[in-house]
Amino acid sequence: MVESYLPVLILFVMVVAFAFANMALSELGGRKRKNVGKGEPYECGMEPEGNARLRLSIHFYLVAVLFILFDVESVFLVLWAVGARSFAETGVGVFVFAEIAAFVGLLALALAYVWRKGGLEWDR
Amino acid sequence: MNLTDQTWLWAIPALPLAGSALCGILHYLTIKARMPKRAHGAHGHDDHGHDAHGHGHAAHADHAASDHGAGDHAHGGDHGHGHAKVEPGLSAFAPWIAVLAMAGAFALAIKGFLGLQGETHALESPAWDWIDTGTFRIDLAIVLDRLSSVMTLVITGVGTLIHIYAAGYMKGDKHYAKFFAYLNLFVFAMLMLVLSSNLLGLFVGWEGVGLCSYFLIGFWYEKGWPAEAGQKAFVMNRIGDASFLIGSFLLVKLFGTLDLSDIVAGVSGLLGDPEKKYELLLAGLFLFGGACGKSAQLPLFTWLPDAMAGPTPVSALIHAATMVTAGIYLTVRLNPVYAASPDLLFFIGAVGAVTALIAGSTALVQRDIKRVLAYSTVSQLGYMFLGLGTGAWAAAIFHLVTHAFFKALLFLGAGSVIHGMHEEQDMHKMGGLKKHMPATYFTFLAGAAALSGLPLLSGYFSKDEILAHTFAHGGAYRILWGIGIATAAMTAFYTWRMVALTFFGKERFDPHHVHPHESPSVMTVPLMVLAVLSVFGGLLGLPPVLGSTHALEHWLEPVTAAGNALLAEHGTHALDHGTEWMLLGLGAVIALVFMGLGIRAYVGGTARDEKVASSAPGLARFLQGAWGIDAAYTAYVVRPMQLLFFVVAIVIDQFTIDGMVNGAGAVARTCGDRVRRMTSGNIATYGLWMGAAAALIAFLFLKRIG
Amino acid sequence: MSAWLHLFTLELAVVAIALLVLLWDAFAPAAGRAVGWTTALLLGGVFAASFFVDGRGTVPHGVFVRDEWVVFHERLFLAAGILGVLGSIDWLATRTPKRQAEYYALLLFSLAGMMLLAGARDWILLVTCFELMSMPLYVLCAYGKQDGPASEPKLAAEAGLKLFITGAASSGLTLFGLALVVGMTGTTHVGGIGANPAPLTIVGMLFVLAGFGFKVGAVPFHMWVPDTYQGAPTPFVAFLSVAPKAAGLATLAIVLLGGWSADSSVWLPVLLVLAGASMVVGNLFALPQTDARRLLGFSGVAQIGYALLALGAMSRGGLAMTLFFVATYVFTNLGVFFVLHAAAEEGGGHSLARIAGLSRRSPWLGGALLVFLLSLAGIPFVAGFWAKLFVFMEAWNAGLVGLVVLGVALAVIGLYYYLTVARSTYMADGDRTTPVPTGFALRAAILVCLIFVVGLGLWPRPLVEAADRAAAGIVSGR
Repeated sequence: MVESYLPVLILFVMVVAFAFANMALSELGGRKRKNVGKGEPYECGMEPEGNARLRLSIHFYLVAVLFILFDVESVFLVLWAVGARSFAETGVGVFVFAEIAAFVGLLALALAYVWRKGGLEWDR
Repeated sequence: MNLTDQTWLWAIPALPLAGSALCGILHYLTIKARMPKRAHGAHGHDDHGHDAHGHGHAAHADHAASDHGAGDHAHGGDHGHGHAKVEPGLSAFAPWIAVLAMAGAFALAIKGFLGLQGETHALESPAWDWIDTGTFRIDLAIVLDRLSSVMTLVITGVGTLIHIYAAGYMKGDKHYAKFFAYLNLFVFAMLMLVLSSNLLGLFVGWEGVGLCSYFLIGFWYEKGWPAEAGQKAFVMNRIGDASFLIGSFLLVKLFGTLDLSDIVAGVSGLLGDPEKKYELLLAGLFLFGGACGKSAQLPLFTWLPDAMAGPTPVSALIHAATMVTAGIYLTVRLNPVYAASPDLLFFIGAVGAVTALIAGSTALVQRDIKRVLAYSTVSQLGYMFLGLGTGAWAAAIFHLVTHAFFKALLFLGAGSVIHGMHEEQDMHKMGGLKKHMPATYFTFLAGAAALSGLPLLSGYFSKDEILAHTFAHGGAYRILWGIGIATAAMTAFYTWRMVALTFFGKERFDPHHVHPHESPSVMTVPLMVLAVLSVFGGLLGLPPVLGSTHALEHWLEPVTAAGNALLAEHGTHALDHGTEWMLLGLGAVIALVFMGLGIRAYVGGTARDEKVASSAPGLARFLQGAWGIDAAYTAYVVRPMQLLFFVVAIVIDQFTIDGMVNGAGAVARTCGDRVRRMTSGNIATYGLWMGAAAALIAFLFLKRIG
Repeated sequence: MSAWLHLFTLELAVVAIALLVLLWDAFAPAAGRAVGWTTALLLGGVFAASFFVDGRGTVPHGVFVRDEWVVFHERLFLAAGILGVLGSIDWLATRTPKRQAEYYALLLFSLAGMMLLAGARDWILLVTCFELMSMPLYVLCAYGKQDGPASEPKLAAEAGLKLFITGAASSGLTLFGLALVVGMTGTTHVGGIGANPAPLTIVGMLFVLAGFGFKVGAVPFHMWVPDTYQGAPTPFVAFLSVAPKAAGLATLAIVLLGGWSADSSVWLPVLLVLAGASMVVGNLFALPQTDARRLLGFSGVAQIGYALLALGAMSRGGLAMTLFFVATYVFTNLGVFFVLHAAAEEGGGHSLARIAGLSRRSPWLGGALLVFLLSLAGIPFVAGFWAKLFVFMEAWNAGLVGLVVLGVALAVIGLYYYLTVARSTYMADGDRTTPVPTGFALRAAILVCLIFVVGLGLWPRPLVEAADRAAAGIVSGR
């Protein structure tokens, strides 16, 4: 039974080998000349100013994560909205509405929590 | 015939258990009362219950400072007497409770004994389905048969005396009530061990006594080394316990039951099948391994001398009279398992004889009075196993009983001496105590006479019976007999050396600082009772040649019948009267001669010891360290293990702390690199390892399927 | 409204408490111990309610089953949760008085994940619950990141990161394996593994096993255990060392004995190798440790080995004894860590030298530690004795003779290092003679653990019976 998977293994080996072989070839065969110009981020154009490794404020990540959270969760509302009519027709409308209300309620609670905790304030 | 509705039997172990619980409560209340008034500090929450520091600490500091001597030389003091007295408070009631519980158990044991006369072979309590889930069922019942009644009488009888003695001995200890709680708990565990109807209850007791022994050896843990000794005893016991557990699993597999009487009854039915017979031999061997741990036989005997770090009543009760005899009890209880294999029997006898010889010779040169007695105990237990090795079950139990009497007496007497000498245990610093402590002296003499086997005393009959059985077996057993006789000579010698060094001759202590005094009567009265028992205990088993029936052998007949029947298939061994008389005479002569030699050599003082030490220093050291066995364990087992674990700890584990990696030398780094990565604290490598392990597992099983 | 929502009453209650705690903290921040005590008391209410809420049943499509098995685990996790909260109250109130509510809420979310996990019979729900359990733990692990000893202030952050990354890797393994399994069998139901016993299904399952092995800390997936135990805040380690392990073992039981019992010839050797290796490595590596928490980390690895051994018995009795073992382990290990926390709270690390003199300074704490250690070592009159004995009995009955002999022998080594820990509390410590300061909540938690450990040691029957009933939900028959 295992034999039937041999092609997969061969493919796997070949993929890995190909990747490494390319790297090895360029490492071995390529010419390497190092100078200041090559080490710069941009070989032409603007002079780089300051350090590229900026420390961004943690708030940036926080706001970004919060945005994604609420953004993605609002997608679920679309699904409900699409099916709402058929739910109502099959008689589970109230139940499904209660469910989505609980969902939105939870989101509201989370928003309230974030708000109170100062998660939406940039300068804290 | 068995009576199976004896519910009251549960009261025998339950009484000490209740006593233990009550003493524990008393201990709690005492400590609570001693606590300083709480100061309401800034924390707002007070400290957890704690001890009366300041009451006892300063006094204990000197002991904490005196280090644990590695060798065999006398340890600093025995215990906390002479310290600033601690108000006993409620704990003063503890000995009353404990002694009453013991006396009650003893009374019930007598009741059981009286009920076992005639055709009644065992009393049984109704089975209690302790756990029953339908798929998993454990019954417990208390069975008082002929064998367990003997054990119970010894445990509760000698135990009661030792409890009374301890009431005086431990007076003033700041954990007075805790001591009795542990002591009663020990008795409970020991009674479970001998009274349980099945292997599980026996195992609970078996491990339980080890636990209590650990607590009690380390009772004065504040001195440091008792805690260490307790740990050593517990772990060595546990090695035996592991062996015991495997042995009992084998038995359960063979017989399909935990019940001891079913196992005993089922042995003869198995012997037709060679494979099962082999498994039975294996089970017997593993169980004997357990017995070796508990009863301090080769190769697991080295914990017992160290166990002397405990208070002396503990040494008397646990490490002489009861717990260490558990191995004997187990072997007799399962006698057909052993009787089924003559080779196993001979092995047991040989282990016993060699242990007796090694321990007996070691006792010759000890200076610490308790260590003499400890090695003597190991040696006498060796005798009992020698007896078991000949299939003389009753003789072994006989010696167990008489030994419980006289060895408990000797330990308690030694405790009285230590008590009177202000915690001095080195016999070289004693001498001439007979006029200071007359009651201790006379009772000690009775114990010594019994131990050394002076004619007509208890030890004489029990030891000679074992030796006679060994002689009667002939063949290779004659070698064991020779070892036994040699050990008997040593026993007489070291016993009377001890007596002479302690009680005879000149006083070798500074009379200005040490004022030996007789112990209070609460301690001497138990000594006297034990002395009477030591002298007359031989009546239990007078040899038939003296025209009497061996009462104990007859009594145990229902228990030993199964084993004896199997033994009879290998032929019986009997001695004619002439030989028997000759052996009795030989035993008497040896005891008397070596008693004389022992007294003559040491009545004048310690010169002989110094002469031996200077003329044959190698031999003295060899004997001093019990033939170097403990040292060999240290050198060949403990040290290599420590080294191995040091390597494990340093190379594999400690290198997780990144800084240490940088500090290591380049060579070590190169070599250790691969190993270190095993647990390098580096999560990337962890991930790699986990992936590799998963891949390996997957690969292996693909191979399996393919 | 729906026929099955009531099955989740307890879980919903736990989540509600978490939300309540969070909002309370957001709208009316309260310093002190009020939040912690409220959480503990409410959880206690849920625990009590678990004896009255009698919902048994199955969610449509068999996604979730609430039976005796789930009830047993709910109570076990709730007990661990209550004790975990109790043990943290004093620490949080003194060390991070401004950030308390999140700790409790995260712990409760993790708890809800565990409780759901026990009943999950669908891969999607199971994995989701597993992550719901795990994610909060990563955060909690680094909670006291400013709390480490002065020499290594970032130990807790490091521990959290380690737990997170190895945890994420193991989740990856599990998910990769599940992708294969679901792809091969065409069903997401746990019971469907046997539907297509193709090699690829088996490979997938072995990856899943590896992922679970990580969570329970079995060798060779144990590396995170000592590091994390050493670095994370001790009251949390107490919780981490018991509840997720119990949950991981429950999952293993559901998957192996419940879903995949037909192919036991494939996974049993793996399980037994994991059990044996965990016993050996855990016990041997614990011996030379000088840091108490690291030692307990390896000891935990060893204990998991014993639990896996009973699981390997593949019988109802064996599974029942696994549960019994785990339940006693929960109370014992919580107790050990709480005492260590109390002893080391005054500052400094957790080297064994730190607890020197404990028996003299606070005899009851020292005594409690001794009881817990004896229970871990399997000594009579405390719960661990029966746990070890029953595990060995069931494994022996199942014919695992070699592993039982190995386990019995290694238990001797176990006793040695547990006693070494105990002995270090006896050692003199001249500097400090005042009693160890402990808060009321911590003392209560230790006392509860002590009562369970001693109580079950004297009278294990109720727990054995409960475990047996629970096991019947997974392995039918005798």
